[in-house]
Amino acid sequence: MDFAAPVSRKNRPAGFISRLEAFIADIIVLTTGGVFATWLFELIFRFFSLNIIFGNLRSTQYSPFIFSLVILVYFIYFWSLLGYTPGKYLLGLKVVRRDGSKLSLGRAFIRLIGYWVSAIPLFFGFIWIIFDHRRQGWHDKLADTQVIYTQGDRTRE
Amino acid sequence: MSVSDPSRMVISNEDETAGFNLRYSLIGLVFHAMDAGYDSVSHLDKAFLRAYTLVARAFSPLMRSRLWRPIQERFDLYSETGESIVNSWIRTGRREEQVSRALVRKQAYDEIVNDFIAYLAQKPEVRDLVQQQSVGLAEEIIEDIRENSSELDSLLEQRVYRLVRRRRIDDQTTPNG
Repeated sequence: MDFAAPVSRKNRPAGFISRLEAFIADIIVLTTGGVFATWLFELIFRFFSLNIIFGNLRSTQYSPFIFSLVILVYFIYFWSLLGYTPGKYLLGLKVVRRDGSKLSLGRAFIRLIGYWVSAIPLFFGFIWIIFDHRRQGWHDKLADTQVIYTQGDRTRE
Repeated sequence: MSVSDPSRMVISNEDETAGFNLRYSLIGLVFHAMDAGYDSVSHLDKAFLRAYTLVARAFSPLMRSRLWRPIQERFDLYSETGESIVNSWIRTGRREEQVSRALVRKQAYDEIVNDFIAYLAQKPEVRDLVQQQSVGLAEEIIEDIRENSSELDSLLEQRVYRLVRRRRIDDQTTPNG
């Protein structure tokens, strides 16, 4: 039995539940943003009468492209510039490199590709966070990153 | 200002128009008529009681006779009927007065609350305080979510490791430490 004194969670690797909650929050933000971007695209398309050149496009034709673009920009922008997405900020989490430094654009892109690597084998790459001693998913291992708690416990600080 | 002296509460305004004066005079008339009506009824009641006593005394031998009995019985019957009608009026009046009072009270209360809210909304100190309270509450909720999630992280790992009968090797060192 471990009788070691409890340590503050600040800067320690974040667990599966916190990260899952942050991801759900991000999906909500992304969906809203995607819908808004699709609407904006349609507005611009009509304003410039681009249907003369491209013909009458249906929203089902271009919305997957817009959603993909929104996902790409959203994650890469937030991870590389701030270190956290709105969902991760809400849960008090941050994505950093193993040495604690910020992610570069390229590394953020690799991490995003890693999401699909983790998701394709029935999300086992995400579930791996529970079993990994550094709480890293496959996407984290691929980009050499780590998700950490940014705040300590209120009772200890 | 003394509330017990209503005359001191009257606010006169020299700019009042004839229309306003007419309205006030009509309201005053209603109140004066009510007072006069109460006085008249009181006087009439006293006069009627005196007259009844005098007549009853004068005709007491007749009223005790057998000839008078059927008339007395009929009179009592009408009297009971009249009393029950008056009682029903009293009941209705009592009920309606309570309803009216409740309505007036509610109206007054709503007006006071609305005025008070409007007054508070204009105060920048109160607005700031409400804003601070809201932000503080939101922060508290977010912090609770974070702490609970963090505890759930550890709990889930403990359960899973117990399930797979493996010992956890912690390497949760800080990234730069």
